[in-house]
Amino acid sequence: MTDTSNMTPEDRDARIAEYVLGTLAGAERAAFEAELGRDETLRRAVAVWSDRLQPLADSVAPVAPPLALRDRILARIGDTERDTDRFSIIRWLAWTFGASALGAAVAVALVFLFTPQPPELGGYAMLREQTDSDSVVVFQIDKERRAVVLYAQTAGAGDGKDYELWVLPPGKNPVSLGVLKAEARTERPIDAMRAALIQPGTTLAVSLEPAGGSASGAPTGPVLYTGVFHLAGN
Amino acid sequence: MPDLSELESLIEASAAGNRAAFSALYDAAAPQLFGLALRILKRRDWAEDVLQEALISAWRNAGEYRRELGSGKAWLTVILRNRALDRLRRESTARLEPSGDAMPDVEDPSPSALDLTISGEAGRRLMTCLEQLEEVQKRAILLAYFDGLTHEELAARVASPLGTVKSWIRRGLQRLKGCLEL
Repeated sequence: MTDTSNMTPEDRDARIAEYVLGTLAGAERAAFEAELGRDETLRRAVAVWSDRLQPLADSVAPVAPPLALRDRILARIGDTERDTDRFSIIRWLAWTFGASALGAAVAVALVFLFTPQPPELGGYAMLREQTDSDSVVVFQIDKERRAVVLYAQTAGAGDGKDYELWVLPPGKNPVSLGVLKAEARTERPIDAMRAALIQPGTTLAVSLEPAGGSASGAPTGPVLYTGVFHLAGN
Repeated sequence: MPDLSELESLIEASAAGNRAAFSALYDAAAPQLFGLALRILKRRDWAEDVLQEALISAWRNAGEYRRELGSGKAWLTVILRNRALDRLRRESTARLEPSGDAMPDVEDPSPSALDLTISGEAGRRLMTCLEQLEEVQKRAILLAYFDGLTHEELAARVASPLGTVKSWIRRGLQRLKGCLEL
């Protein structure tokens, strides 16, 4: 197999470009990759071509991967030997807030949040728009009812606006569960009072509020997404 | 992808073993990478496998990332595309037929690769330069990039001799580079 070091500069650059484009197959590709492993200059040249063609990758519409895939991947990276992170975050928080403020409850919540094994799902709601769009806000709570996970596959709320999540207990005023970021996954602890309001059949809603959330503690903007809470497995 | 400027720092923090940084990296990059995997593989199950392999590989190899070797986004794209191409080639070898015949279960989001729109400054420049190629060169390059076709598969797809297709690609890429460096 021809090593690119024996090629003319033009042929070598063409080979690099073909590799990045992906048209090399079988033995040609394997030989190129073997050379890549031992040649720093070649790696640089590949990076230059990758940057050139990157706008093609950017032109593809993003698609939110399934939530379970994220949990699977994050659990898998927990298996690797670099297993110090959970503790360094707790150390960092202890530094930031002072060790005394880092009470047992906070520590429990932190270990929970950064444990590679995902906690058991207690229940969920899929919040959708009235219109038949692809936007969706997924709400999950763990079985112990200590934390919630929000996944918002939505457009941005706009300048100076935020999405805010509410639980609508029957016959009572809506209670805020905090703001959420568009196009992002948010995981946060939930207190027992709020957790108790979330029962099978309870409606959850997302409204559009000023940045930081409604100042009054009640929803003020239009309700964009609604959904009903279900227990997992039901 | 949102917060592009952050990807580089997130990869570096991941290299130091920071899992919170890696989950932020996942949130910032996974949807774009998943979109690309679906575009290339056209099957959701394969795309999920490939996204998982690519991101675990990114975690394990984050220490090899260097800013001077290009953007974090391009680094992740290379890992994802390599995994996707491996998968395509493996499946097509297993079935002894071109990968282009795989039964798609994802609707092709851009049926004509030629109807491409790319935003951003770099995207506009690349578009301008692609427009200056001969139509056959442009088509061959875009089919190769988005459908993961090898030279042989491309020749079969466009019903042209292998040598001709190879030279479209080669000349097309050369002209693209020349145009981008102007």
